[in-house]
Amino acid sequence: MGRAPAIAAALLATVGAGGCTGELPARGEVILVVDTDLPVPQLASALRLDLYSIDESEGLRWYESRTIALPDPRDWPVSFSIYNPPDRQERSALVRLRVYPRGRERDYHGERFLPPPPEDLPPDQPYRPPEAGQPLRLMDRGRDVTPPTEPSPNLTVDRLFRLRLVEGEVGRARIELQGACVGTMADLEGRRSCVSQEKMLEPMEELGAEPASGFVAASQQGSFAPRSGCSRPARPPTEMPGTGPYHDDEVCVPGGAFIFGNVEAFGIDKASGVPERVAVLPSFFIDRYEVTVRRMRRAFAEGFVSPDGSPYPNPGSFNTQLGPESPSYCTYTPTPGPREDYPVNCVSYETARAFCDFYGGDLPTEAQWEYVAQAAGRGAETPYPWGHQEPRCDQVVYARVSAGLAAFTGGNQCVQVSVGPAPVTEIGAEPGDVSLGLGVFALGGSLQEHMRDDFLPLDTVFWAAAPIWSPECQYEDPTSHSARGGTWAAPSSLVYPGLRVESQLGVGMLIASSTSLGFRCVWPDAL
Amino acid sequence: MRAPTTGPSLVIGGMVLSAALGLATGARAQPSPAPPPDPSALADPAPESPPLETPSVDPVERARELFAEGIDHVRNSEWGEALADFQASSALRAHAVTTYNMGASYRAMGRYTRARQQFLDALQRHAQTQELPPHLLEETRRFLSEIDAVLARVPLSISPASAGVTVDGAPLQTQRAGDVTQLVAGVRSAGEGEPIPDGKGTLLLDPGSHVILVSAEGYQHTVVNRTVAPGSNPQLTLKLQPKPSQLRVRASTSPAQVFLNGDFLGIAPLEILRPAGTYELKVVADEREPFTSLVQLESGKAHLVRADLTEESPSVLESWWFWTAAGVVVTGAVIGTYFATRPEPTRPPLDGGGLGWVVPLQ
Repeated sequence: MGRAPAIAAALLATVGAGGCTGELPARGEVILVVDTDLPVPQLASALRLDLYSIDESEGLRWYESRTIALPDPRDWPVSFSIYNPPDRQERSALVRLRVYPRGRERDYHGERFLPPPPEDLPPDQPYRPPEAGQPLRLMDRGRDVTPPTEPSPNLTVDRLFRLRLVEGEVGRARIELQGACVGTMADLEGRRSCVSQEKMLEPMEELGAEPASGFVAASQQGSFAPRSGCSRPARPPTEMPGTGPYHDDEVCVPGGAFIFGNVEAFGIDKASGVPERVAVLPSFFIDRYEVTVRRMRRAFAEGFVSPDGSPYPNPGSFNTQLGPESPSYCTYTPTPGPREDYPVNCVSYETARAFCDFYGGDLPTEAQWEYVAQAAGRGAETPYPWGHQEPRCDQVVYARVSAGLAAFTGGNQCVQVSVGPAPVTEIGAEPGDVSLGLGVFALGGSLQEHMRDDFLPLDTVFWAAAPIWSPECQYEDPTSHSARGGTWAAPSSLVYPGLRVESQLGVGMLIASSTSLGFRCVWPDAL
Repeated sequence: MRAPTTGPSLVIGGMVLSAALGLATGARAQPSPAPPPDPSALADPAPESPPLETPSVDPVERARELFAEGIDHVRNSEWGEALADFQASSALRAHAVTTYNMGASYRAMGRYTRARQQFLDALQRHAQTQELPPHLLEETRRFLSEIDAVLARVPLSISPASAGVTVDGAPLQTQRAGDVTQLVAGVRSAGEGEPIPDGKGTLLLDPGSHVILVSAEGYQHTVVNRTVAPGSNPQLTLKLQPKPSQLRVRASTSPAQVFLNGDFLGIAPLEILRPAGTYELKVVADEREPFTSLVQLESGKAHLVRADLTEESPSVLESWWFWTAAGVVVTGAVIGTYFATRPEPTRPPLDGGGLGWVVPLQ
């Protein structure tokens, strides 16, 4: 303080004007410490903050929106402060925090709240957000600066709370955005959001500034559904001396969380891969190869009985003058022959599932299969099992049709390699049709595979209500099952694991024409 | 997808006939192609052909050999290899029949825009050389009609009109069809996007999935995935958004509050994104002269402003001699003077947390 003010202060004291100081009370301020238990950056790499004021006459007014990318786990927990300007002693505001994977956004058409579906709705009924919602706009001094997009609700943890700030009060408040709430959208109008329990909306709480303790807790990021290994070794391959390998070895698939669904498979009628959602799976085992002819024959020898007589037996060789629907492309032979190492096709869903059950397993769910094809064994999800590279004829078994309609619609792009299904021993040029990290074969091409799930589009009541943990579609009186994967008869555009397939095959002739369908089994990791 | 009506046997038959025409008899001896022989007298050229164990040096003979090799590949449904041989043959000796065969190969591979281009080229060459026999001429026109029904025709509109466009990694080929600008995808090699005339045209696409990339200097590029059905014509309008500009503000002292067009942004140093334009920047700190400046932000560019905050000029009222001179003659006057000249009370600085965000409530 300079000499002049010091003299003036002394004078003030002399004349009894004491009690005035140079310090004003602090602005009411809270430092929000935001953390998440979702894995960063796989399921959480951006944070969005929105502020609303509540006016008795005007209702809700949206006045602030900020988004920041936080792709590094070391960025968490993140903190920033909200303060009360000095023109008013006390203020309240609605604070909305949303954490989501960066890039997963949808166009903003107003506040389109979609609650978890009520239990009495039919599972196959469409369940979609309204086209346009509550017309809430972000205004800045009379200008409309509303962001054009918002985080996709299905992949977002969405939390709402009230913040009250009083002049002079400074402190901290910690908010944890929990993975159990991912996919449960906050109800802005009803002032509700999910706090810690899946699909449960609770009234918003009120927070104020808590005195800072000086201790900052470590981030919880990654503690939601941590990746866990298997509890036992995987089954090794077996071989019959003089006959050949059964290709029956299994692979451990560590559990974890991933994005189930594919925005790249958008708009393909009911087989669309949207809306995406988060799914969490425990560890399990999966067949490294598709079930082969030799392995099926061994099952029959060990007492397995097919419920419908499939797989369809084909004593002859592939007739390359015929289209892919010809039973001449069925691989199973009545007696051991030259196709023992081929994946078995022309087999029904019922027989496939009974085969897996015979050995203590089951068909994979769509979530399990997609997890292995696009997420498991790698740091970030990839479009193809082997990575990002587009499939090539010398690498994947696809487009090997020489006749019929499919030959003129892109199904013959790879006939220079061979025509028809190929043995599981055909590895292919680098990187091969082999999944990253885990080494599971033929998830890209070869045969489409039976899934355990009944087929329903992802925008139906069932999937909206499905749990985050181990989702599986089973409902009363299904009309079709699911299938996944590319096939030897498919053009390159269908060699994409994100494409969902509705399989409506029955018995008899239709099975004989299902030359593109095979299967593999999964086993639980009993802990 | 609706299937082409011609089966493989007829296509192959057409190619075998083509192999026996033009290049098979006397082409080496004549600088211009020989007139087509009577089709009923044609046979498989293989028995008359010398063993093709050593490629010929003579370009015309080599062109013939390649043509025959291409026909062999066609018989084995090896369309890719057949196409390569026909292309090599055409490079040595162009012929409308060879061009026709290239078109048929592309068609069998489902590359309809390329097939269409080859058939159009074959007709164009035929107009000058009369090389296509009547049945192939009719076949060419029929294939073109079939392909025109299969291709998707997408009315395309791009903004800004100067934006470059690629489809599946390759620029478009621009053609005029009357008053309409046709933009053909899949016929050019991979490369940088090129603008389309007036930003408008009809995009010709093979049925299936495609990736469309639109980019322009100063704008955020747009990537669109579209799956088109045969014969469909869905509209596609793409408008690029200008890239925001980045503004970084540093101050010579701390804490310094930053305002942009009167809005409080936070405490310097900070970085923000704003649309391109002119803004009034103001940086203030206690006991410092405010720093003001007009900043011109450009799309996609970063701007750094260093606010040098100078100390406030001392007021005469703060000089010690003033008070000494004034003394304590009049108590009220001293008190009044004190209240007029005391330093502004300050508040504790805001925290900002780890992000440095200081967000005011309203």
